Amino acid sequence: MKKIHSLTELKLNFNWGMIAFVLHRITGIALTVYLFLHIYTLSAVQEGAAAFNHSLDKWDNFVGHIFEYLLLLAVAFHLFNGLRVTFVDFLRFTRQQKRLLAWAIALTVVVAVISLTIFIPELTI
Amino acid sequence: MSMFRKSTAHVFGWFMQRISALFLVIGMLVHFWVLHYFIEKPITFEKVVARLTSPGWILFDSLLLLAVIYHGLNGIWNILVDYNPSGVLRKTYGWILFLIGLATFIWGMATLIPFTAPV
Repeated sequence: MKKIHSLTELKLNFNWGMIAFVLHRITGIALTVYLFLHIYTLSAVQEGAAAFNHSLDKWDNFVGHIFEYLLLLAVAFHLFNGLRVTFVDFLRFTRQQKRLLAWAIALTVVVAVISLTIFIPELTI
Repeated sequence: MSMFRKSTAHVFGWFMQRISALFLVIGMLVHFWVLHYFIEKPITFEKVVARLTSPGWILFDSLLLLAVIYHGLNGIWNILVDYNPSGVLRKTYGWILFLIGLATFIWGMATLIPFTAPV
């Protein structure tokens, strides 16, 4: 049997659930990698208060805040889509899964837009 | 019997992934709120120490650390298992992830403790 590349498969048989599945994995891996970076940044405290403050200060710049915004988007999507998965599994919401996905995407967009009003002023630093 | 044990182990992992997820939903909201709104910017050592004098916050941060390590590494485990690895490989992945989790928890706690008892 001819092997079909997953991107071809997605084009032939498009569905948003698959996009959500892939995005959930990508954000999940990214957030796990971030956890190590997060502890690494904070672990500067083991060398004292000044080292800790300096370590946090290193992220207080343009690139740092862009990164922070992307982090928030990843958390928001993973959280809302994860709630959708949990509702489907625990509360037998299988039939409503498409509508729940629309909600998860909508809430992620809401968080993305609202947080822009907080992040844009910080970007000018 | 061994097959039965394997399948229940997977159900436990599935269940705990959702329980840790529900804890993280609340925990992350609190974590974000405290560090982006409650504490005035910029975050400094002194401000973190002021919060971590409370045993409740120390417990909260420790539980958040434990839950996020479990949830993240168990999630990686779920992805790896989806590629249908052999029994030996599966065990190896499990042990590597467990050791990474244990080391990360110790590392995280070693980072938390200096805030609770500053010299």
